[in-house]
Amino acid sequence: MEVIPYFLSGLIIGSVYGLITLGLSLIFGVLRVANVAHGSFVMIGAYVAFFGFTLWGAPPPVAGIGALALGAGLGALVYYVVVKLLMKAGELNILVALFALGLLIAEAARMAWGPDFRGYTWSIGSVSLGGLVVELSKAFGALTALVTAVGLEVFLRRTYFGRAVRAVVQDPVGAQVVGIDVERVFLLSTAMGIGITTLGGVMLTLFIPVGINPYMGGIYTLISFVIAVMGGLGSIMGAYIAGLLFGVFQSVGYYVFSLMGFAQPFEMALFLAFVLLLLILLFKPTGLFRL
Amino acid sequence: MKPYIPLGIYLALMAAAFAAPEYSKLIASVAFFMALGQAVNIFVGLTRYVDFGYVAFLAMGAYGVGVVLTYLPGLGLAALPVGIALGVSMAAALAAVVGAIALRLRGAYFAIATIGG
Repeated sequence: MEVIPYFLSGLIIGSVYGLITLGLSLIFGVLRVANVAHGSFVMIGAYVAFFGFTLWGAPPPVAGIGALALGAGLGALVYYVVVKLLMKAGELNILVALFALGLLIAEAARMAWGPDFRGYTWSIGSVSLGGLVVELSKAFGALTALVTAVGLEVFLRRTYFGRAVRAVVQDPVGAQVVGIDVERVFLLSTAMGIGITTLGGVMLTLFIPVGINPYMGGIYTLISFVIAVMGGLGSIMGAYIAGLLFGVFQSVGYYVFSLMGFAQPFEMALFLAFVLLLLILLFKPTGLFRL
Repeated sequence: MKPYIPLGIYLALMAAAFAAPEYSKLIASVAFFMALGQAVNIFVGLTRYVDFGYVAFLAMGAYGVGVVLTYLPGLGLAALPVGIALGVSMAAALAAVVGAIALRLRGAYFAIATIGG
């Protein structure tokens, strides 16, 4: 079975796709705002990892913690500067403002750091698994993603604040009636969501050896939206599992399409993913599974 | 009165392009961005649908003109209207297909559906 290594590597990258999507899904679930600037925060996380590693020699686990904190701060800023101000103006205005913010961040990154593709290598050995040589750095990224997803889910189910978040997801007005500080839930959800997104950006750099550049975010905005819709917008574990599915779909799709002789198997798999996005939005907008 | 303002600006641009041909490239891109802005305004501003896929239609127009210029080289100046007609009809056809699907969705869901364009 030659397809098994593709399946496994799909699961590993899919885990990180899931991590990148968690923040998008959380923010959509709580605020009903589609964060179209999502990819730019992935890009910021990737640059944190790159500069952490090359300037200070900080390995990705350390950079991940730094990116989480930085992202949370940026998220709070985004909430106060964009979302809160425009909440009354309607969701369409927030969408356009976030779109502009995403462009602004990407262009600022290009001015500050230049348009070059950059990358670094964090080698900590590799293991052989089912006919596939897995680099431990990638396994670390996948594991971090799994721990973050499970941790977020447990946080939302077991803690007082997590329950408040889920109450707001179900019914913002009802949550306010029973005395939940909805605005605080909005603020902390945005901060957490964007923090997790930048953490995802750090873990992503373990998979793209020379792919860090200011405009890298766009494709991850797209992939994240496909995954979030697959998993049911707003569902945390749904997003993670759909991420795994997407990774497998992409990796096995690559294998199948190159066997079938397509010139660009990767683009073909991506194109099919967007067709899938439209179909799911039309026929099953609550996502493929309920969690 | 209002419709005459864009017309006036347009005529002024044309006059400027003829008066100072060395700036014609700049004037062309000004006109281009005006048209692009108007197109986005019709869709996002007037219908209140936020569409992130509109550059796909821009690409269709460019592609139509490109196809005519590449495959029908004998047309001369007539290549322009033919190319525009082809580009516009291709973009309209794509819009009909995408719209038939995406316009069933509202608000943020519509934006998400078009973001892959």
